[in-house]
Amino acid sequence: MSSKARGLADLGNVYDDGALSNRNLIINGAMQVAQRGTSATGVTNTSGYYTVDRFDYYTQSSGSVGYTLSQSTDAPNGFGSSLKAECTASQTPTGNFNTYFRHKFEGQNVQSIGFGTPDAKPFTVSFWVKSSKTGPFTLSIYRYSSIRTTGLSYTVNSVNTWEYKTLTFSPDTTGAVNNDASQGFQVAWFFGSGPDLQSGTFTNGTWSSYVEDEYAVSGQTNITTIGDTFQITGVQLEVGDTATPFEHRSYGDELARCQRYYEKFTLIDAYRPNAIAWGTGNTNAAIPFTVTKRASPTLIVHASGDVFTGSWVSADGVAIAGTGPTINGVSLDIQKASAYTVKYGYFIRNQIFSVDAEL
Amino acid sequence: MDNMNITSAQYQVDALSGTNSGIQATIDGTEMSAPLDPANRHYAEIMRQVEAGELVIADAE
Repeated sequence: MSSKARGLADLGNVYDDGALSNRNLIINGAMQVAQRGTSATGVTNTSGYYTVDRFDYYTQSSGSVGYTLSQSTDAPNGFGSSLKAECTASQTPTGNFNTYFRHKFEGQNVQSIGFGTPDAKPFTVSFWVKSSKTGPFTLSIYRYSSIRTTGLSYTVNSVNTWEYKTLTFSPDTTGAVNNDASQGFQVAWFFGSGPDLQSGTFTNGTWSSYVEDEYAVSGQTNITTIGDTFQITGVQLEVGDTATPFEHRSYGDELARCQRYYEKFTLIDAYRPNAIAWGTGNTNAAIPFTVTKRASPTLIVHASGDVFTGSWVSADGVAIAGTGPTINGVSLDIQKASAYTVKYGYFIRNQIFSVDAEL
Repeated sequence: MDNMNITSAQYQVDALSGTNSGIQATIDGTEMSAPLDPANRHYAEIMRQVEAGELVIADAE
C-alpha cells in the first residue's frame, strides 16, 4: 500500500474511533510548557513535578541515585523540546527501586476508551525516545479506581539517537474508570527498575490486578550511572489501534490546558493589584485564576513582595485569606505589622506564588 | 503510588472570619498551604497520613 493510501486508511480508522481532532489525550506531549522552570539539579529521592508541565518524576528509592531533570532543546525534527533525565549520582538498583516519568489523566477525560464496558477500545501510545543506553524499557499503565495494570516493552536500538515508538494496548472490559476530576489512570516511562519489579512474569499487555513483581520488563534498562540519559517527546495517547501523526497544538493552547493543574503568578509592578486592609497588620487582595482549576489548589508562596504604605516596604508574609482557594481564585492576606489603616486600600507588587491542583 | 514526606502540618484560621482556611504544611521540604478539599492531592495525603497515625495536625495558633 502506498504511503498516501496508508495515511487515508489510518485516517479512516481514526474516524471509526471517533476522533478527528483532539485525538491526543496527553497534555503538553511536545514538552513545550515548563512553568516551574527548565532545569532542576540534584533531584534524588523526592517524587514530584520539577520542569515540564503535566509530566512528573516518580522514584521509589532510598539510595544515592540523583538526576538533573530538564526541558531540553534537543528534540527530533518537528519538535522544539524534550523532557530529559541525566543521571548525576549513581546507584545499583536493588529491591523495589523504580524511577519513571509519569503522566496522569482525569477519569472524566478518558471515558472514550470505555474501560470496564463491553465496548472498551484499544488505545495507542506513540512517542519519541532517546537514550544513552540501548536495551528494553517498560511503558506501564496503572488504573486507579479499579487497580488494573498492564505494560508493554519497547527497545532502544541505538545510543543517543531519536527513535519513534508506538505501543497499542488491548481493550480492558473489567473495572470502570471514575467519571470525574480525580485520577483515572497513568502512563509511566520507566528508566530504572530493581529486581523485585521484574521477578514475576511481565504482563506484556495483559490486564491484571497490580502485582509488583510483574510491573517491569525483565532486563529493564537502568539509567542509573553518572552520565546516563533518557529523553522523551512527541507523546501521544489516542483511542484505537493505530498511531496517527502527532497532533501539534499551539503553545497558548497547551499552556491553558496545563494551567488547569498548575499556575504560577508574579504580580509585577506594571499591573499592581489593590488590597483592602481589614486590620492594622492585614490587607487582602483577591487574585482570579487564568484558568479554572481541576480542584481547590495548594498555595505555595515564593516571595512575599512589597506593599505601598506611602512608600514601598517589604511585606512580612503572605497567607491564604478567607476559607481558602477555590477553583476560580485565591484571596491573599498580605501581612505587615502595624502598617495599615482599616478600610484603606494599598497597592501590592512582586508577590510570587503558584497554585497546584495536580492529580 | 505517591510518596510525600510531610514534616509538619498546622491548621490555619482566617483571622477575619475565624474559620479554617487550610493546613500549613511542609511537604518534601517546601512550605505550602493546602485547602480543605479531599480532591486536593496534598490535603488527601495529609489526611491519609493522619489516619495511618503517621502525622498529627497541630491546632491553629
